[in-house]
Amino acid sequence: MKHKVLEYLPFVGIVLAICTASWVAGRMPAEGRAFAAGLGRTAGPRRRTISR
Amino acid sequence: MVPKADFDSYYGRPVLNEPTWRAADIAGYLFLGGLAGASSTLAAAAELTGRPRLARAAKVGALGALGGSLYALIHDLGRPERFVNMLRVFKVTSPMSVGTWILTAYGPHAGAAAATGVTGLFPGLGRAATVGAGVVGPAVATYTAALICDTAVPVWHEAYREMPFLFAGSAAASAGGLGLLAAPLSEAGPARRAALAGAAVEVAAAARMERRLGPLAEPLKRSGLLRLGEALSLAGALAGATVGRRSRVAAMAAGAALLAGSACTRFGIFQAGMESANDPKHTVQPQRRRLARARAERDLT
Repeated sequence: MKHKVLEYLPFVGIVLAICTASWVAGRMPAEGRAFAAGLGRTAGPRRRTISR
Repeated sequence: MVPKADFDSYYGRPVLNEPTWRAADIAGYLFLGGLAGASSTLAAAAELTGRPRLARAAKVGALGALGGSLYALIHDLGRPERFVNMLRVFKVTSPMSVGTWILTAYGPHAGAAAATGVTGLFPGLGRAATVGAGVVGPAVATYTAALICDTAVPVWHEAYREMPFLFAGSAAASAGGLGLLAAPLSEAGPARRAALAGAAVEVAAAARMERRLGPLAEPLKRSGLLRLGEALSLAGALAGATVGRRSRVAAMAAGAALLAGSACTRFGIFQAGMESANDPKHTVQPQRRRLARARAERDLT
């Protein structure tokens, strides 16, 4: 019985990891994409700086 | 008077050798592959209709499920090289060969879609990859049905007409469940609809399969996992479409029920197949029926 439970542990672990990663991704704000924000490549319209 | 001998097999021993597949690997692979493919299609739909959070959650879920399904497949094969070796040929008549190539085409698209979705880099490339993964997704979700129906396992082999619909429905229900679990309520509309449609198709295909297979459907009808899977899928889909619209907690519970229901369905189908392979009457009786039908058709002409 114990052996049977151990056999299913990786599957259960994978499903829990998928749900957690997906949940975290769904909680991230649309404009909170860390890397792109740092590089100034957000998906939204770019703002121009009006220089003199 | 000596009664007529009713031969089923040699001393009642199984006619087929039971496949050496382990449930956690193969049934897990069927479930995770379906979840990955259907999540990619849901992500593409969400991306094209302006639902970024649902799209991102589905893309990350699809990539995770793809990784999990590859782990299960390679664990069953024994060595990773065996997967690579399958890429030496492309054989249209072999579901295993076609499936290997489908996974190879799908993987980079799903990976690029998730990576660009999370980082926000290269949005054009990300959108193209999302659409690409969404197009290949239905093939990833259903080719496993052809894969198991192409074996000699009686229940799977005879259920070849309904199995792709059952797998498609189960995959859509699980992807809808993951969407309900992960996306905010305001963006979860497509996930709710996918879950409802998927659960309905899954239950209808299973009912038709059991009716059409007749006595061969015995292991399917006896399977507690299949009944539990149907109940969880229907309950999850209905809860998601009603209370899941207003309450985040209810939507998450509905999503978890849908995921569990889809997993139970895949494990139930796997278990019923193994049971039918071990019982000689499930191998011999369909063969006799086919022979009798062929003889009757020959006599008519």
